[in-house]
Amino acid sequence: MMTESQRLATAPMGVPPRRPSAWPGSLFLWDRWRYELRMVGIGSFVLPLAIVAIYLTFSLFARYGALQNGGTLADADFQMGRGLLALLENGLALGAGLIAAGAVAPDRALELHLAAPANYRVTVLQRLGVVTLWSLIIGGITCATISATTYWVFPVTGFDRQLVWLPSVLCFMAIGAAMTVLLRSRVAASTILGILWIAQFLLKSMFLDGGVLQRLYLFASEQIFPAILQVSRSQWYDTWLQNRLILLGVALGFFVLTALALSRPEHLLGAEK
Amino acid sequence: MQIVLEQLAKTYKGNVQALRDINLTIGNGMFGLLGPNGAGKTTLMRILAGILQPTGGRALVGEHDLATERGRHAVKRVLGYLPQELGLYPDLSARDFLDYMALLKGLDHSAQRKQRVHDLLELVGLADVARRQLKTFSGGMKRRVGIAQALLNDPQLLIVDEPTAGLDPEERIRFRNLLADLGGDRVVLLSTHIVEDIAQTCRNLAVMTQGQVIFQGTTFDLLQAARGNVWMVTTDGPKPDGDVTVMATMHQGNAVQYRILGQPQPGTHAVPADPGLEEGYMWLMRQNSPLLTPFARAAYTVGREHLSEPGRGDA
Ligand SMILES: Nc1ncnc2c1ncn2[C@@H]1O[C@H](COP(=O)(O)OP(=O)(O)O)[C@@H](O)[C@H]1O
Ligand SMILES: [Mg+2]
Repeated sequence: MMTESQRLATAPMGVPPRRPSAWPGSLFLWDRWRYELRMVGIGSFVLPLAIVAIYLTFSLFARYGALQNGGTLADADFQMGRGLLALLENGLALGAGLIAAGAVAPDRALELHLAAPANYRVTVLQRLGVVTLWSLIIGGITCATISATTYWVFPVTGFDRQLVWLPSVLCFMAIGAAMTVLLRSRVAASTILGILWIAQFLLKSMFLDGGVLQRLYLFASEQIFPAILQVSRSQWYDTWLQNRLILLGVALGFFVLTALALSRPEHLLGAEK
Repeated sequence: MQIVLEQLAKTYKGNVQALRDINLTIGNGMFGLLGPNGAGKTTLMRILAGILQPTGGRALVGEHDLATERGRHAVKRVLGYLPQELGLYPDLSARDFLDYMALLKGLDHSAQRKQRVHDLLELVGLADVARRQLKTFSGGMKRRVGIAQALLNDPQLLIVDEPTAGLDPEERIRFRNLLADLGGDRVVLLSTHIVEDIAQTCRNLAVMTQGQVIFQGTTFDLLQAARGNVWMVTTDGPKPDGDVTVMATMHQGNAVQYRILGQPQPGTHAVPADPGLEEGYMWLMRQNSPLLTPFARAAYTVGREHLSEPGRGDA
């Protein structure tokens, strides 16, 4: 005889559940994206906007301060432009790194997910994809907007302008993601990002003295500015462009590392205490 | 559905041998896996759930080989799994959580999924708190959410790892009864270090320790292992000593009655008693303890032969 709960457990559900999707966890379901967006969290979408707001405020103050100190209008606009350059290259990068770390943070229901037919790696990359796309949208729009004003100060044109922010943003994201997965800790990864960020300012001279580190310097636009205004373009442009392209490669490398680390369940679950 | 494990082994990084040479055949119905902490139960369950890969031997679930990616994926499609450390999303409601898990299990059709989630919330008695955030749930309620998600895809293989740990006695009994109702047309694998859980739910079980299976049979077989080794001693003197385990103590006026597990008979006034499952388990563990006396080892060998007699207790 069947008990009530047995009857319920085996109750038909319209179409039998034994015939589920051929692609469990399909990316083509809006319902799925709705949940992944919730998992990523509203904070991840707000943070880059907040950073834009903060840097914009400071830039306006810098402009106002310059005028107060008897500077010319051109002076004041230049100060504002420097602030916005910092936003593009340093500010957005840190924010993007932090939200990438959050997006790939160990899932709360990790073990359940690993035992489900949907691939955990795909889920996490889906979340990372969402925040990457968001960062690219914010960066692209911010860059285009500044470009359209008189506040653009860095002496490059066209697509090169997007190279001011893109490599550093992607590097911080990829490093943040890789560290989170490898260390299984969002906090540890965020700390590393913070140290990396500050180190770019502290070790500026070391990075800029040439050699390999010059190619890997993350703030190669904002920090060499306005010094480059004193020298001819041929003296810095090639090095700058190389730096930007190499950083894109580095970012790609860390993204691949993240994806690889995500396919090792033993590592993801960690050692038992 | 049948699970067949042959010389299954799992060595973690750092040369931790969590499983060595596991041989088991498990058919439909409830099957208990009993063993102390660190025995390797969770490791075995994770391998059967397709989460971890074995490092040696063979593991077949139905016709699917767990050594291959394809096999693990196929098993996950018919699997329900309730892990020992059940992590849930604290900000999701029970209903949304189950809906999300159902998506991960491939229940793509929205209306069907909602119906299924609804049915399962009814089944585990959480329908009236379906919209509450999971962080407000008690331990017992979380376990019930856990079992509900495991059942979403009507699994042919249901694995529950220490499901009663951390539950209060009332919750524990309710949860056990829920599990007992789920047997039938599927394999239900229950791991626990609590003998009582098995006694109430499973007829077939295996006992593991230190990565090895030291017993497989029915609960009756296990209980029989202790037959002739359980005694009642009533005394107003000192507690019985020697190589014995006191299973229970009962005060009766001035005298104290002890329930004792051991060999040989602890004094002539000891009265033989019928063993319980817990005593069967304790006896088995005593025989397999690394601190075995030569005598106990000899007794163990005898016990083992006795146990492996075919047909015993399979009434
Ligand atoms: N990820 C891991 N890395 C290394 N050793 C592990 C890991 N997981 C478990 N172990 C070890 O394997 C043994 C069996 O653990 P486990 O399967 O959790 O046992 P049980 O579930 O029976 O308590 C223990 O000695 C444990 O310390
Ligand atoms: Mg365990």
